[in-house]
Amino acid sequence: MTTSITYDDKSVRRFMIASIFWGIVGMIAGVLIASQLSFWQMNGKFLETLTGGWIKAEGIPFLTFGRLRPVHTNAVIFAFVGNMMFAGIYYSTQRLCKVRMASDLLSSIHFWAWQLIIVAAAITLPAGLTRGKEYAELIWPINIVVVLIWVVFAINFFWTLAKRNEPSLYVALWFYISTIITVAMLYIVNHLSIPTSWTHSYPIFGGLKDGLVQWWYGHNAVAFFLTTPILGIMYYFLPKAANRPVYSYRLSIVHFWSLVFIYIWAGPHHLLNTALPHWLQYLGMLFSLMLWAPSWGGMLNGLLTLRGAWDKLRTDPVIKFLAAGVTFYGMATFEGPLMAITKVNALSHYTDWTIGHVHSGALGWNGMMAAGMFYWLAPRLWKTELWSKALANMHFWIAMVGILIYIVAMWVSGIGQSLMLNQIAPDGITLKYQFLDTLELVQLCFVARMIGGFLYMSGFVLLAINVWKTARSGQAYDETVEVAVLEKKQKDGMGFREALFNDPLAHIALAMVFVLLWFFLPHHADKAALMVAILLSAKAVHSFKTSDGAWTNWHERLVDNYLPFTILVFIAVAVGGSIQIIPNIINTRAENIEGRIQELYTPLELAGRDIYISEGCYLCHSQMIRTLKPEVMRYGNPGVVDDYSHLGESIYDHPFQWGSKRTGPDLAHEGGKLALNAKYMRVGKRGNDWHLAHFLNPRDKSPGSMMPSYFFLFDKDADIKALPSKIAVQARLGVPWPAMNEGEINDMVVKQAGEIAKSIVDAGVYLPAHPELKGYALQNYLAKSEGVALIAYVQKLGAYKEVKKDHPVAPSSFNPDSHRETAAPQSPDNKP
Amino acid sequence: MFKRVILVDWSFSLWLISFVIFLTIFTGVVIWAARMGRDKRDRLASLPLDDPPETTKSQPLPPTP
Repeated sequence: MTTSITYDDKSVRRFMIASIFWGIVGMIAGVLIASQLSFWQMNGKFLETLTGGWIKAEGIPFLTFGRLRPVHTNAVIFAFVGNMMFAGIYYSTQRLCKVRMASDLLSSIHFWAWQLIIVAAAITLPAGLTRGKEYAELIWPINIVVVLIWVVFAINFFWTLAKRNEPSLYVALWFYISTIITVAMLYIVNHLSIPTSWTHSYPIFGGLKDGLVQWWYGHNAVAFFLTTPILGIMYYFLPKAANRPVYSYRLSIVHFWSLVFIYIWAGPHHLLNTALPHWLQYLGMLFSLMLWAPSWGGMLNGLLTLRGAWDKLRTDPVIKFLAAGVTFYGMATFEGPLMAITKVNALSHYTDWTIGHVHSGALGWNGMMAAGMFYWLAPRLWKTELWSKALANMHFWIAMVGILIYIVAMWVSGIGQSLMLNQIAPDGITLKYQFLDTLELVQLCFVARMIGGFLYMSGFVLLAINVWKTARSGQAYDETVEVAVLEKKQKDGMGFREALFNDPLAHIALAMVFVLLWFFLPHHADKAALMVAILLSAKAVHSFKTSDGAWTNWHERLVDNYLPFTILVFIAVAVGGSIQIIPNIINTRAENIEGRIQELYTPLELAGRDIYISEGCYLCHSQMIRTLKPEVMRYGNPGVVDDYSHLGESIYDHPFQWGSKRTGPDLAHEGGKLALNAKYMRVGKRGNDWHLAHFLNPRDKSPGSMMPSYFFLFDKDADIKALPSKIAVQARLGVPWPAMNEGEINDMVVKQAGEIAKSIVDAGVYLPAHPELKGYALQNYLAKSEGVALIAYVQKLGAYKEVKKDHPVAPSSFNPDSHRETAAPQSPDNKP
Repeated sequence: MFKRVILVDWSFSLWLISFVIFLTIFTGVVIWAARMGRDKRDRLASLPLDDPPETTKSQPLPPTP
């Protein structure tokens, strides 16, 4: 029996147009923030010139780098690539399943709500409403909508799979399944928070745990939002464009399972040489290196699909973009594991090399694949010819030149700056260069980056024009096809029991358990375990040979059954996260810390910390002195032994602020001890008056600095009223705040702010915006300001107490060391 | 060797566990892919190119006002 199916191409057109629109918005934001790193005036002062002096300001809060950078990243990831991914998934899923999307209503809700989320992000992020975690900045009410809409998308997608008229699931659908399942898991876990108000929350994890969860999420956002769906798109659109099947379907199977399984483990490579436990660092590095194989397997599979069709590369812009996109995938996935090698990472991390790497993925892989797909889709969605192949070819070359300028500039800047920062003076005890000295080198690169980004954006504008003209030359068109109806018994006949409890899986699981027991069991028992593992393997081979095809049938049927397949994918991705995160959640607790443990913030310092997060300071300043000699020399306190950042120093930080890029210097140990005769005020490496002058105009104190002017922090009162609810939430999260009522909190704030403000006034500083304020009037004015709260926080950074333990930690579950006498060797002066 | 690793720090064994799990799954998948029948492979690979015939019902949508 056959039936007519009209595909829902309206949703595809919508998502495609939205992707192009938001892509250009995201790229404009990118070029703007790139210019801010070359010209500090681009943080708002340029409006003085543009408006002929009508607007007068050293900067505009919502135009500062710290607030706009999340707009750029979120726009590119979730708005540009997100909408592009949905366009590709909606188009290819319907055709691979030979059925219309299950629900037009759900498709519409998905589209419009996703755009609403993007608009909400575009409003809240410049307003300084952020969670302070990269790519996870959106405030909690928006996060809830994101999760709900993702569920809507998932229901629509799986419902479509259930209604399909094709018995088998093509490999592109596997990649889409892994995307839907894994993004949901990552997003929910990394966004677990307790609200303190409608616009603010604290993540439930803190310090190291938060860092680990964040980069488990951050890395896998790259893997499962920016890679797996695009690989699915590659496996569908590349064969279509080349008009020949994928080079090796076998390779695509190995590619899928190895990629999905390995990627999820690689997150810790974002935290190499930090306070992260070494086993996790090794794990991150090992699995990152293993990623080379599946990534290149996938790239080769894509490129070899073009065998016999390479001549089209000369004339067909679609093939050009897709081939370049796949090549950039290979280059970026070669560079990534390279940068995950601990020693290479010591050079590359916190520098522009990372920025270049990310953009070779975003511009080269995602952007080129998007362009190739859009040029292929546009004529088919509007039933016409592409308006101009020449314009598409021009777009290709502009984009290619733009990317190359961008990446090379970032290589030079990143590697050059890092080499300079690591250079030790001939005396062997001092550093050769100050941080500001390196800015001369990177400035030229920053300008080149801006030009590269501008070229790439210009190319995308050409695409927008081309698609617009193509659409105008045709008419919106929904394809209708005649398909054979698939009866229910012909698909999804495998139940969970058959899928998960069967001979092949049982043999694999048992063999794995006994190999692991071989590691853990005592002498002789371990040999027995190894023998059992070998016997099981032999039995597996025997059973396989005598199964009369049953084993082969099992896995061949598995790819025809989406629900069991989905569960296996979930197990594959959940295992990695669990093994990495759960032991840390159990063991990284204050009572287990020996050595340095963070001193609690005062209420004013907490208010200052939230301002630091709100202004996006973490995007340019790290708070993590890595275990590298030049870094300890540069950022550690003179005369303090091993003054790198210890695990316990940030254990109460919700969220953690270790950062990922140093456009400015590290601040982990910027603070200092209590000032003489002060109850709360601290003074660190620089005085309070220095910080005030630096916030007002960074170039006064740091010539050549590109930091925005934060004069507006002294025009606004700190939000003290919110502190009781914030402190209550932190206490629920395990931060040992002493019991305080609102009055006590307020008294502490007034006392500490007064001490800081007085020290500033005593130093003879005045506010250029308020020259009339002097003496007590100035002191009272400053004491209420956000600026003083932020100074209080900066002066507290790196404060810790020493904890010495007289006896080993009591035995605990999941920690075999705590049960072993050998685990805690007693030193002579550490006797109970 | 493995005992020494465990005694030095139990958590180091976690990456060994991770590696074994991966190796097992990888081996299983490679066998799976290698054993997949040629007919099935070819049919799956050609799915994107297997376009059903377009019907005469395919019409451009009326222009939106």
